[in-house]
Amino acid sequence: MERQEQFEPVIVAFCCWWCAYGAADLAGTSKLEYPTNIRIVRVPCSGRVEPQFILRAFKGKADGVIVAGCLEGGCHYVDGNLKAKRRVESLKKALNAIGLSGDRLEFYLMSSAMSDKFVEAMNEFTERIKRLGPSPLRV
Amino acid sequence: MKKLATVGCCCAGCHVAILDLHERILPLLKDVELSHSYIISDVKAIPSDLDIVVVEGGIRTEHDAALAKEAREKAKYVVALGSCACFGGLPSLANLYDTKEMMNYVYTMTPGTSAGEIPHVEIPRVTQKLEPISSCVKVDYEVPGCPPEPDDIALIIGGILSGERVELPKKSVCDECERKRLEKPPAKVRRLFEEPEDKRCLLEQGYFCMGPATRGGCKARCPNSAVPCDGCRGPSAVSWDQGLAMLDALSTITYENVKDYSLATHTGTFHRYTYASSLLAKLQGLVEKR
Repeated sequence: MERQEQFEPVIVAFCCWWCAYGAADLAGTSKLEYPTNIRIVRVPCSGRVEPQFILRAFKGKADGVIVAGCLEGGCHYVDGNLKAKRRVESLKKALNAIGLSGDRLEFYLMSSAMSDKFVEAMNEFTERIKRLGPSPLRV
Repeated sequence: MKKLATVGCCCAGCHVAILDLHERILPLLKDVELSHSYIISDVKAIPSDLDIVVVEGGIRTEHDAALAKEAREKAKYVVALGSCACFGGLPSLANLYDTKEMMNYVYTMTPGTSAGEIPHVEIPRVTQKLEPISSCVKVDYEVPGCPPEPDDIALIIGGILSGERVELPKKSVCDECERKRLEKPPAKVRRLFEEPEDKRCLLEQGYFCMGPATRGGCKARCPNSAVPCDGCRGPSAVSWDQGLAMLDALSTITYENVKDYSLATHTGTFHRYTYASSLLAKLQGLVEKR
């Protein structure tokens, strides 16, 4: 009998340098484990992530995309994280409308000290994508 | 003497834009022989050994695809004229719908149509999606606009004739607009029938003006006459996907409208002329194929 290969999603995480990337760094130095499906892209601010970046990730056969920024009020560039949050919200609706589930995109807020929150968010998102299955562009 | 031909698969508005050169067409005609032009002259077949072929309109039928390929084979330079040829244009909004559904609506349900059968005898078949001509042939120059600016046409044709590599202006519509910005986000979304204030940025007043993401060169004619730009000249040099750039900008400033999102409104407003070539449409096409 052929062995059923377990689905290993490809997830791109855009992490802001000041908070989410710091949290990922701290998770590493504190030896916390999180899924290897996550590919982190460091960006100066989550507000730098344009819809084009996210859609290109999906076109490049990513199964899920995360945008992670600072806590509300904690953005190094004043309000970049809030802008990113709004963008992600409208883009989720666009993804739903074109038939690519909006659940494949998520926005997380965390500070650079919240390594446990980072790990929890990555675990939760990876579980969600595994439940949703491979992206329709990938099959 | 260079040989120029123009072919078209669309509304012929761009050909009228060529004629809009007025007397400036005369110096061009000294160097150029108009060998074939489906709306200006009466030569039926496209002659071979052409130097420049100007193609207007997107690929909607199999005939259009054949025409574009014939143009490419016979010409040294292919110029895509108008937003349909460059990015798909207004007709590409039909890509949101299934082709059968679209044909059925157009030939049986539109006002003024007596419900008849969908034409199918001795006419070229409709393609699945409307595509810009760059999807089936290599394009050397693009002159966007709906209709394109006569100045741009003269610049590009003149450049080809003189052998210099010319480029269209890279500015955005906002760079040419005379309205002033006060750096204040709009309080609410407005529609065109509400009278806009004079001399103040339309986007800041709450009108959906596509100026920031749109290529300039039109002297910002619409916003300067109190009509919001609808983005007919396609993406500016900075934003390579016009509609997504506007979604990016506007979802941050008019947040409360995000909840009313619909794909038709989004594309009709932000991708009005560029839907066929947008990343969103490409993704939608890929999802539908599965």
